[in-house]
Amino acid sequence: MTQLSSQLIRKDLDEATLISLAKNGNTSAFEKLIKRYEEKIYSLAYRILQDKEEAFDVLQDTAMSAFKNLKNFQSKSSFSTWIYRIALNFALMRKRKQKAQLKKAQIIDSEDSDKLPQFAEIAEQNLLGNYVDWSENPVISLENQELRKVLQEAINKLPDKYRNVIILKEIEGRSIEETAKILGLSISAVKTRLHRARLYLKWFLEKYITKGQMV
Amino acid sequence: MKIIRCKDIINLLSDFYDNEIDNEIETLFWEHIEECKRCLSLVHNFEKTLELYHSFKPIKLEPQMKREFHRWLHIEIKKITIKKYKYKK
Ligand SMILES: [Zn+2]
Repeated sequence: MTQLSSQLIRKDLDEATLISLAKNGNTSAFEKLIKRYEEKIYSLAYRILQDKEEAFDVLQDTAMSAFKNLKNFQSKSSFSTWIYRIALNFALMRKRKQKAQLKKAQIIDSEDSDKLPQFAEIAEQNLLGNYVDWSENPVISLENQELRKVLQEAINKLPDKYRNVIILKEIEGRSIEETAKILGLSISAVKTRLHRARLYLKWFLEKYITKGQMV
Repeated sequence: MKIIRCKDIINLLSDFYDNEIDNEIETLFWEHIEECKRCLSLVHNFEKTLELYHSFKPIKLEPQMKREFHRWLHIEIKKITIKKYKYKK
């Protein structure tokens, strides 16, 4: 066994070493590297696509693309950001195809194709009429299957630019800084989108709660 | 002395939630929601919405999918490496 391959047995080999080995053609270093991120890549893709097989395809596409393009990866940036960015692009490409197919088959019902209200209208609605505090309502819980579906649908209905921020920041737990890097946006742009997306989600939830007269 | 209105509260919700609000504004924010029941409800509902999203279960690769991926990865990158090597020769 060469010194390098025996080194690879060690699980704690740091990322920079793995990257430099992989760049020099060590395939098992590359496999190790990808295995560190496979769950995160799959999870991100699943959140966007809501389909196990499609998310699995994204994982494969991402791994292949990373392998072919690793030479272009600049070690001064973070590998996690780099690979997340690749995965996100593949997932979004598939999402667009999904949407196009649904439209073709006219599966999207009229409510889905309705345009979202402008953000200003959403904000204004918080100032109108009787505003009810529903936060302590026991029905508002993830134990409630129907509500979980509503929450998921709300994300699906968000325009791409809002959905991506919500998935990365709120659900996958990336920091604002990393979210900005993955999406190629400034921090202030991420903050603005995040704020709007959060208010949209609250609006979706409120719509469901008040329509269903849960409160 | 600045005054914070209900509209400002809506704009400040995220900064407040993320703890990224100036001390001075934060005091005004608190003063407002102590007086304004509507905005207090707004803060509660906003926080509850995010709490629900934060507690979404993590998505896991199923063990069988994971094994399939590892097998696939191993074979595919070997293929590419061999091709490259042949091409260089
Ligand atoms: Zn108010």
